[in-house]
Amino acid sequence: MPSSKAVRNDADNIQTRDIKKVVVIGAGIMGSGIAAHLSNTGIKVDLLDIVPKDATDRDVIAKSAITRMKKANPATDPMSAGFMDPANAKLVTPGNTEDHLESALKDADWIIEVVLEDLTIKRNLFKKIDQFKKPGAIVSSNTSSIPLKNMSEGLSEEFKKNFAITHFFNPPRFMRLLELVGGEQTSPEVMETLRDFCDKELGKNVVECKDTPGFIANRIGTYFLFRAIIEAIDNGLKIEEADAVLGAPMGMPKTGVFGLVDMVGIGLIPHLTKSLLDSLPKSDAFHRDCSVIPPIINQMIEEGRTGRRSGKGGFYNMQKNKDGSKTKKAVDLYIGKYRDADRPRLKSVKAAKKNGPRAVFEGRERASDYAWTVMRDTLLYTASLVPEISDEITEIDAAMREGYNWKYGPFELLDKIGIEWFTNKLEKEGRPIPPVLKMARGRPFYRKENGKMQHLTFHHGKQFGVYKDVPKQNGVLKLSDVKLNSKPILSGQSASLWDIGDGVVCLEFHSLMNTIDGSILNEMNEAIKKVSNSNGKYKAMVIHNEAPNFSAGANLALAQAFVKAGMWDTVESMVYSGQAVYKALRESPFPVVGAPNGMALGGGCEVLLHCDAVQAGAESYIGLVESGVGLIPGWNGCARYLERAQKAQEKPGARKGPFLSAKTAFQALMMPQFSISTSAQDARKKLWLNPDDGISMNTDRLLTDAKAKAVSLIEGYKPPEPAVFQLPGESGKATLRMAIDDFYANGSATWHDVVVSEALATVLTGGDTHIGKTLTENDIQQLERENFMSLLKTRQTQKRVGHMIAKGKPLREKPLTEPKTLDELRAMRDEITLPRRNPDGKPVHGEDGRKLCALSAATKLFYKALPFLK
Amino acid sequence: MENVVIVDYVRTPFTRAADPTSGKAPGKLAHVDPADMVVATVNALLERTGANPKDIENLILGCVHQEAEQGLNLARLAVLHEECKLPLTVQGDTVDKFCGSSLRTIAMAKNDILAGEADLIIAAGVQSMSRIPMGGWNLLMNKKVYKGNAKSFMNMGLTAENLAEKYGISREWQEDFAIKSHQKAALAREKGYYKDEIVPVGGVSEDDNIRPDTNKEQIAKLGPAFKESGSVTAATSSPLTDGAGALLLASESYAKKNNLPVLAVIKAYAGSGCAPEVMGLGPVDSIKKLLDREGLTMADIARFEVNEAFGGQIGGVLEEMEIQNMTLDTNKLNIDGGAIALGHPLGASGTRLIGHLAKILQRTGERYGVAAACMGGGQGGAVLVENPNYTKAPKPTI
Repeated sequence: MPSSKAVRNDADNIQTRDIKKVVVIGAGIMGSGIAAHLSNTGIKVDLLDIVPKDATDRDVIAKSAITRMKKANPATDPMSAGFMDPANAKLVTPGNTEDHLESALKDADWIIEVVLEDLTIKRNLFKKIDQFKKPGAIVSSNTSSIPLKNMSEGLSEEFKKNFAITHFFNPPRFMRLLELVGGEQTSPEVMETLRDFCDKELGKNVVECKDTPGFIANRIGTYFLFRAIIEAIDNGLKIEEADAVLGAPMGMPKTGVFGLVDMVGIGLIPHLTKSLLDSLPKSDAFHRDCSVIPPIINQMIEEGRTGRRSGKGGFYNMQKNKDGSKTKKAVDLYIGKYRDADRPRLKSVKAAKKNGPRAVFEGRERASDYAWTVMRDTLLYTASLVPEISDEITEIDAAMREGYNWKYGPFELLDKIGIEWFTNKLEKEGRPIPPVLKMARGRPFYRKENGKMQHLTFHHGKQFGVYKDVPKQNGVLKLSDVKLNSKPILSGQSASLWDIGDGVVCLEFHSLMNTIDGSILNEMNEAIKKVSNSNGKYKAMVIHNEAPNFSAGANLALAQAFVKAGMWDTVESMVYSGQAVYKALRESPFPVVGAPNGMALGGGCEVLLHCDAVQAGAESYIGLVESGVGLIPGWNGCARYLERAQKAQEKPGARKGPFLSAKTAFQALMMPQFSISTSAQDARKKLWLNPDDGISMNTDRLLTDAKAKAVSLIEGYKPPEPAVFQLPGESGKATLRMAIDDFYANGSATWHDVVVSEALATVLTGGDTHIGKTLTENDIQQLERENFMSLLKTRQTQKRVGHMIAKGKPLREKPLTEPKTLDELRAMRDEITLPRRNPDGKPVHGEDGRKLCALSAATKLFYKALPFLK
Repeated sequence: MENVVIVDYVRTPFTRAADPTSGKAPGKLAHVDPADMVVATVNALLERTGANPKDIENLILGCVHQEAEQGLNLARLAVLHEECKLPLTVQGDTVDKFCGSSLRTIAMAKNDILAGEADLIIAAGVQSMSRIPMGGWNLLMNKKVYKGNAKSFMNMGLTAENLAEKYGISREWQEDFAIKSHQKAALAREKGYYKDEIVPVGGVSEDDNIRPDTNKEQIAKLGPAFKESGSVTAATSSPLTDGAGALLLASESYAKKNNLPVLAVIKAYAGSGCAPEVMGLGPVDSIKKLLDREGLTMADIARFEVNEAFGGQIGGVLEEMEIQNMTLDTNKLNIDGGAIALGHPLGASGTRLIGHLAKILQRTGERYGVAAACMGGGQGGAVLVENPNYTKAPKPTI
């Protein structure tokens, strides 16, 4: 993915200012979200809003916003979950603009205005800010529609020098786009400070925009959404059909158009369009295509059916049935009433999976014509906006990727579709071809040249239609750049090893959802050998990839295939190989740094638990989730988590006791719904990350930071000692049984949870041991393997695995028709004793090595057969 | 025959506790170490009665989960405490019988005195549920105990669910009972019935669990606390509570000789065992045994103080007693409110049940009262108390 950063040649020479305290004025959804995200970086924020009429608590607006965000669960309420750790709330001081404006402003380094989109209100506020702020303090507006020059009119020169627009997207914690707009008088120092801070500290992809209505993302995005809604209504399309084509096939969010609007709120549509209509010249295509709000939208807004948060549904509505189940309903665009939602099976959507977005347009369905019309007009509109809204297509693409979660920006999408094909079709329809497309005809907008990505430029004059290098952020290393101009050191089906310079290698996973399989284990094993035997050429390893998720866990479908074929020895060999290779990774003679982002679950989490250090992306969701599929961690996850729980007891003031580490681990591993981290900061609390592990707010900088960490560990590196354990044994297990018995009795654990927890309790309490005995890692690994295998042999675990593969979510058993006693339930799993095997912390070799190679080959076969398995 | 008398009874305020692992705001007595609570009650007894501390043989203290601040034989620690007015000659025993711990320490003190091995004993109880969580910090269960009786220590709330289910105790009945408990306790407090038994400690001088404004609509909204489809809620359970209580017990002859006041006579104790999963029924057999042994009938007993672990549990006790032809008239039961309103600091509850029962009998002029409690693990205990100054015609109660 090309980076969007415009390099300013003079950037290095510009001094940036320190930002230590920020004031956010306006505590609505956006303002409070911005304040929360600022606190995530550890800086102090004052959050102010007006005093509501007759309020007893004058700070009530800001206070209730903080309370709402503290309580929000990121999984179910991302719009409110601004805090990466609820404890960050203590950095945000609530206040009001009547009592606290002066005191808050006097030592603020940055003041962000997030009040109503009303020029008079904003101007009045800026006048006050101008009066109270310290000289040199930066002021920015989060406006999405009011031109900068109108806002700063009549204010002091000092104010104008320090004034810019910083346009965040909702929710500010999760949306990576930040549109930055400077005025004619804004000082370069202010622009550089904002760019630097928003990039490094807030983790934003900063796109510099011109001072035009809607800037980049909302100008194009609003047009697209509006056009898609109108066209669906005009053509009598079902909203499910529209969402099916204008979702995943276009590389757009799976919600599609109507689902997305439900999420952001239908009420926003008239606002967005009105502000654009008011400020765009009549000649703009926006007036032609988006000037009339369809009656159904007004009707739904009047009825309060404005989307997911309205409680009354939106375009879609989940209706609860009497038996507690839910039915998805969809609105009929003609009559505005709900009907049962369809699951359209469209040939063009299926074809697009194989052949890309163009296949949708080439289809012969009603929805394919619809998709073509909407995308054609959107792409034509976009092409007409160069250079009005930006000189560079890279900026436009980045804005749509980060601001609207499009996988491809409009110009990248045009490359995917094929410009030749696109323009030919326009010609056939008798439509004029805009100059930008004319110029690009016959060549792509992006190309790879001499190991670098280049893009077409459309600056007027000499440079029109010339390729130039896609600019990069200063000092940022990305794996995609390394891959453009080098060959891998090692490469297999699911993983490759890259030289990222300075003696550091990067192990990249590239399997389906980055699931861990035989190939990854084999490449990891080979990589350990390669680095160990490189005579000092390679000194450290980073494990990282640029996919949205670091790893979804072990490849269950592969394991299931072995199970179905009755290849139990192979399954066991896979478990053992993982244990042995992960152990070798940990005890290798060079430092290993894990650099995850997004999900790192199960086997992927276990990789991180074996690294010497982790540099995590801020949005890292880490956890051992095996119990959800009726299993327990099988690749030393139990030992590694126990070790961390033991270490946590060494902290001053920590509780201690023989049962504590087993209990802590049991809770974390048995109840992943509570123990998966909701951010990297949260992962520290939940022991997935160590206190010394780093967090990168900007994922673009993750590899750079991880590499630096790896380099810092090289000198004097010694691998960690294997852990030893003192565990409570049978009495601990009986105690955990008691807890599970209660959970089963009160209905929060299912009958198979009883079975799974029995296996987990056996491992975590150390089997046949007592607190006075010391166990080794190998003891725990042996228990882990035996209990893992015994669970996998139960029918219900196999059902859970199958359900996860098919549906992507855990299966929860219904109560048994014939109730069983707890003893009978536990007897549903046969205990297994396996021959003792002690991995030695070295890369696997000999017979085990040959087995690992065979596993790797089997993985390759699996991927070959995958299209047929589906 | 020698009698054992209660010379005086005091307790600390009972204040709501939060489980220390819950991360919730701590209770008002969370800052007071359990030993400090015990010392406060012991010193108050000595001051109020003027008893000679040198004559005290033993401090027998009930306390559940004897670890951390409650470990190391807390009774002896209290004697060693710098503020304690007991001399080092006083021994210390710490007793764990779950919710019946201090019911039992009073019985033990009685027995020691009757055996002639002591003249004066302090029987006390304490629990800091703010400092040590239910089950303790390091719960570990013997595997053979688990195998023999898997339900030995199932969640106490679930045992209440079992009784509610077994005897068909509706959620509504439980809520009604809980509301009445609060109303009775609030009225008793208003009338000052609790005032002279409370010893301030750690800057706190009032009970804080009693909620006189608890209403039906409000508590009907609560979700089940222990079981998805259950009927037991937070409102019908006794709250986690911090507190301590202590009784000064003497042989009747010693009391007479030394001009000590007499609150009541501890006549007898009976204990019993039952299945752990219905531990709430414990009082039924204990009361039966006690009455049979003493040759009394239900009609002879004017007042009952039965620990309200849960509304559903009390409901179960009442139903089972009716089945066994020993119907308990609820007008005689917990007339000043019970543990649902006042709180249940496990180790200390026995002192309140017996001490306050003695005071009720004094107030009403009635003769016999029975205090009883159920205990985790499946036990019950009951104590018969007699008012030596009883008048035949009972006075109006409230």
